Amino acid sequence: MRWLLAIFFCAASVVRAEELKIEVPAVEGTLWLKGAEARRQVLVTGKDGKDFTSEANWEVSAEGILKVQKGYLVPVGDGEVVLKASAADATAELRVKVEGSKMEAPINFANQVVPIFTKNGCNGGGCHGKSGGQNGFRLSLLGFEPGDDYDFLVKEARARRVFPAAPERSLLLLKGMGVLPHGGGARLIEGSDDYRALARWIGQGMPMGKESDPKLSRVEVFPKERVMARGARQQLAVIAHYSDGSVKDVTRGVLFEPNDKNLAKADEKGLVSVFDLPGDVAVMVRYQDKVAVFRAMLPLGAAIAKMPEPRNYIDQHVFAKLRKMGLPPSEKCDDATFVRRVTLDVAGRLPTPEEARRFLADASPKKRDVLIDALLESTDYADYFANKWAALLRNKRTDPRHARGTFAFHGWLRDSLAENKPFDRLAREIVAASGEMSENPPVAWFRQVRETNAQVEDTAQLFLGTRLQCAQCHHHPYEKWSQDDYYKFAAVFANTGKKVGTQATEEMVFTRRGAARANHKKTGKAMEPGALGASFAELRPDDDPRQKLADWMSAPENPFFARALVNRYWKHFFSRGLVEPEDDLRETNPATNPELLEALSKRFVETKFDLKQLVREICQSETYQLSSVPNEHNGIDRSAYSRYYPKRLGAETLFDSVNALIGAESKFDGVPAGTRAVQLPDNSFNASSYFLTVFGRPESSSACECERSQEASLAQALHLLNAKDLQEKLASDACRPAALAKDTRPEEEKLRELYQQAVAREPSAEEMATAMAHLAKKPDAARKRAAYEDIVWALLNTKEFLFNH
Amino acid sequence: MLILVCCVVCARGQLPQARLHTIFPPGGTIGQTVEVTVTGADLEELKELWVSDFRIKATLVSNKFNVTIDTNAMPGIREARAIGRFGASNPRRFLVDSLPQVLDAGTNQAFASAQAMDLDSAVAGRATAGAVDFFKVKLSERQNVIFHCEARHLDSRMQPVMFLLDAGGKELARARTGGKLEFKTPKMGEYVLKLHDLQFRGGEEYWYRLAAHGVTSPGGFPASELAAVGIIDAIKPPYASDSDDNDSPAKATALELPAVVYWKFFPARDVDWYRFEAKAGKAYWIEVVSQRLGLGTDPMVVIERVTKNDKGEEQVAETQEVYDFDTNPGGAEFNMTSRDPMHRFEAKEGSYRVQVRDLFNQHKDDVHRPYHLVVKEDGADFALIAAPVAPPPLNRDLKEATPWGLFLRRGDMIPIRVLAYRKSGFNGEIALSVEGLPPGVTAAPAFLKPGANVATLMLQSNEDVAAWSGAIKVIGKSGELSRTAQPAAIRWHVGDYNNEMVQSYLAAQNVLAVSGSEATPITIRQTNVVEAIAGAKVLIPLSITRRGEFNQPIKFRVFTEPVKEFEVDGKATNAVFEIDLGQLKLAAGQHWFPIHATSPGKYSRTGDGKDLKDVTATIYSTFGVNVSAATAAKAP
Repeated sequence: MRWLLAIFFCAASVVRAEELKIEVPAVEGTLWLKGAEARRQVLVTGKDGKDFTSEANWEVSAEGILKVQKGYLVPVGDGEVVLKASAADATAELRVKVEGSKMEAPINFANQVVPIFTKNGCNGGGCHGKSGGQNGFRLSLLGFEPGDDYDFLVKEARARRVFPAAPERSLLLLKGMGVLPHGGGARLIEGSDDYRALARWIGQGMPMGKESDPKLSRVEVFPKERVMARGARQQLAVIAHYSDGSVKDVTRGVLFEPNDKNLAKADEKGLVSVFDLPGDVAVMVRYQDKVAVFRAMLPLGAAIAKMPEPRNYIDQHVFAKLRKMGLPPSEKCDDATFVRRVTLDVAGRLPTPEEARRFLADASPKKRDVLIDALLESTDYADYFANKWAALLRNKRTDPRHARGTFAFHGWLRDSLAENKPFDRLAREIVAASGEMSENPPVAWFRQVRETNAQVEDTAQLFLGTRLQCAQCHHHPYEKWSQDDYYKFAAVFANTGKKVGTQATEEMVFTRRGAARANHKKTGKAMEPGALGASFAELRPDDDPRQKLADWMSAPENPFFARALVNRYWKHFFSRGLVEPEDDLRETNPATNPELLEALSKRFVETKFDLKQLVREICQSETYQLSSVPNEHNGIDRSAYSRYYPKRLGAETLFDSVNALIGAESKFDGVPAGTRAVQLPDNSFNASSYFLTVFGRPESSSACECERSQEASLAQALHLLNAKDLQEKLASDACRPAALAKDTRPEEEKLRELYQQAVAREPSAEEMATAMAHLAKKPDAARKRAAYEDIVWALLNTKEFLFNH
Repeated sequence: MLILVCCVVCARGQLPQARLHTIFPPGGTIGQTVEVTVTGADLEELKELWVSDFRIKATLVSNKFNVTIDTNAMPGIREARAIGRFGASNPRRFLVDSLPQVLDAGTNQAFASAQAMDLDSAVAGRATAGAVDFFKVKLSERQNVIFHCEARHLDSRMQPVMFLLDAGGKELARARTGGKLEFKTPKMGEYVLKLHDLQFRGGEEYWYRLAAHGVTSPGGFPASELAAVGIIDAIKPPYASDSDDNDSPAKATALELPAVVYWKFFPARDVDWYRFEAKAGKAYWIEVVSQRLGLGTDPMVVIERVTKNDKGEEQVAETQEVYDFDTNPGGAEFNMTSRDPMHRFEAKEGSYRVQVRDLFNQHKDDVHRPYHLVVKEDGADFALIAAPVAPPPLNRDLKEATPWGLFLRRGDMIPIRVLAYRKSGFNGEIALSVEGLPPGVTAAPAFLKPGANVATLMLQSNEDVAAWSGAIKVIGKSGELSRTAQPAAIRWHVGDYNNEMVQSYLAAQNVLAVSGSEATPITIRQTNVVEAIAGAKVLIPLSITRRGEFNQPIKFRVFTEPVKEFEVDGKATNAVFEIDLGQLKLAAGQHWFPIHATSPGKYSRTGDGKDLKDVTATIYSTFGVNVSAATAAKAP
């Protein structure tokens, strides 16, 4: 039997000095360590939460009872000692009693052996944990199947891997130490806790453990969150909670993994070191199939002289965070910037010169709100967001005969957005689509998302912000989702059938009557429908489980649906999701501003999943309207939204913007001339447009936003500089340079209009002078046209044009 | 009159046969005359535009037809067929209603140049590829308006998409499916309708008829799904009453048999329950008619036998789920499957419950999703479809389907494909015959043997037959049952029906045209029906009559099982082949089999021999065997 620390681990301490305290599990007065395997990571914390654990000087009042290294306590003999930590001219003390230091308890394989393999990387996907194992030895991935692991170790290969008569001669240990050739090198150190635990397990006759042994119920990390100065370190302590209420320190047995390696690193002992960038970082702690998270805010610490007045709840949460971080926000952006920014973000196009002029001339204090409303009411909004959703919903043409379905599905999306169909209804009409594609276009989703596993995974990723792919074959490594969860979700789609359609490649979708069940890939068990912890077991044979799924998704208390959407939309406007990636929401990947995510989600539910209202409130916020120009402090901010983060225009928007600037009409085969790239119904047009391809228009092959490339590349730069089709447009009689050359208005007026088209502002005096000088060099008609071609070309190659800022 | 002579069948080198591709405008106004243009293939020497309504007359004037619609004509869809030198074409649909009709000006492909139309009027137009048509209409405040754009029901390839815009171009309403846009105006003013094909396709084959209705638009059109054949019998009264309040077994509507319930799948995910008392050992027939009415429904039926336990509580003893009707004698060309469930079962004593629902109606509360539920004691019945069939492609690997008509040259023989829809377990033999044939034209004997649901009926003409055209009827008889076959037609040529669905539908008539001048290049006839003893091997003699420049070998395919193939040389005037009655397992009785023959030759379209061109003619024939267990086969 394992010796356990009997009291829950909560913040309790024995404070011996004003500046320091030793944080340990909740122990009234004295910390008890019972048994030879008892371990304890204690933390030394100063005022304001500063961690001194790793730098403190540790002393034990008597020898032979307790060893301590950087706060990690190992009992060596029975007795009572006083543990003293000294740092920063202060000390703290803790009384520790050790009992049974020579007593070894029977080992439970799942609780004590398997975590050793995980910690040492033996059962990782690149080693023995991969499908088929490594060099004939196989372990379950990350130890999610202890029963299998036991068989692999103890029964497979005529049990040659373990030698109970002489545990130290076991192949398992000799290979693990690298004594015998081992592709993975030496992983175990002789005499280490892990070595001794394995040897002891073998020596005990390789017990599996008893059914009645306590099961791991959760893990908890301490501290849970900290504000950390840049360059600071924080020791973590991890406690495992078991089904019998007992707890155990497993700090040295867990894996630590930061979610942003630009901000922090963590070593195998749980020491977190943060770098120089401000922001938020989470360190995932994984032990067996349970995870916990330590969150650290890394403030800049600058003084904030002035904070804008919050316009709405968004600002309240963002500004509160900025205050905490000491991160002064940028100024509010000017009108010219705003009209261009919001038109691009909401309508996916540049404002026309007339729109820009009218907006700039408008003296109304509500003009920004009015503009937002007007954009939301325009069909450009529907076109732009339909383009976004069509890609995510895999509206893909892989066969010319798919065109009817892709046009219909895109049209349905666009109309749904134009009518502001509540998002829960939109999602329902997709995941529970039935019928014929031409009559009910969302059925087209099932053409590309054909297989049940794809339906599960796309639904989870798109609408619930959860990536379930891993759980098809093994327990999710970063989440609580197991194969049971996966196949329950699969059962939701188990009765979704297809019938031959009225047109080739257009199968009809329906739900067969009966009890929906999906077979668990591993156990073969017929799983009842459910979704991410919810059970739909009460379904009757007549019920469509997909409708039940939609009911569950759209319930106000659903913890996934609204969050996933608001995070996705937040990223659309701010370039960075509150959770990144935007479709990977999980406990181990927390939001940079959880309160804001919660507030957005709550508000989205309150407004009955009103997409336009969400966009409206985001765009109305002072946060959205901050300038992208950094102040002296916030240039390094990447996640607190202290300024608007500039973003390169998406492929379609850029294509349309270039055409708008040049004055060229887009021409795509199969749609009317003038159809803009954001209005294209499917991916098939990419093949004929190098521009769209090189700037990363997605092929609609996955439900991941990551398929859309926002990266900059040399090929893009060269295309804008030299592409033949762009040069031809610039030189075309029908395009803007030729028209400007012919236009008899004063050159200054024409240049002002040109700048308004490109960047929604008038040229500065310097820009005007430069342009005028260039025109003056080429006064005759033909050369003036060439001069205008130069100016337009130069404008479309400016960062100010290429970026929304 | 534009005639397309470069067509698929000519390219295959077959003999010409009139085919009608387009008729434009595709509709007209009751009480008025409309000038229509037809296009197609092999439409030389057009004489007539046959319309399936005697109240509608067409007169040929300067290569066009003036179609006069009598004031007594009823609104609805008619069929028109072009009849000329090369026979009667396939049908094209033509809409008749009371709305004044104008043509699309063709200059209305921009918002600014929208074509004006009045409320309660119609415009006939064609979609242009990659373009959009705009129409403007003045509407009063709070005006209900329904824009109805008919295309598919008029055989067009267009799938209309409509948007209603205000005078400033702001989008007010949309209709991407169904061709119907309804809107109530917020204020008086000019509104603009934007119309295009879903995929921005266009051209001659993408015609439409757009109507702007001020109050209500006319209802739907008669069901034309192939599987709808015979449903009229099923939906005869008496109708049972129903209500919205039968959405659970406990509230099931009680039915007195026979019962026909007329109700609707409304609202979304509606479930209706019925119950009836059955007699032990009796067979019952349960059928839902909905998808076959041309609707996008997918009815499903659950039949439960209900018993009572010792405590008197109801419990379900048996459950039967009935989905689609998958029997498809028509194959890819005439797909007769249906999503409507049909089921025959032998009952046990007691109560039965029937649940009816629409598997497709999941989200939209749509009152326009009616269904008929038929519950009755089983009674044998059948329905027939009769359709002309194009000659098979010379390359047998091609999976083509082609619109076709009935055209007999002198001394000719042509096939009609007859498909049987056997219902309620009916398995009897059906004897086929044809009514309405002119002198000199006969139908060869043909039967649908017990269990068979496909047969070929041959029409044959004498060598001196006079020119004639008119509607004919195919009749099937089995004992007391007599059913008239419903005509069917293929809408558009399909190059590979494995890649593209064939659109075929129930037509109004089968129209036959007989040439009084042109003879078929080769006539093949069985000299007499062979008498034979079951199990014997018999020789089948055929006579061959050649005309004109058709003096090359003839390849025969005899459609026994397996197909027998042989060839005769270019001088042969007769042919003989052997069949093994034992191998064919023919029971006593008369049996008829079709023969296809092909032979290359030179053909003159004008008939004067000056424009001879190489073609390969397909010639049909048939032979019969009278099988007897007692009588020896007579020598031919």
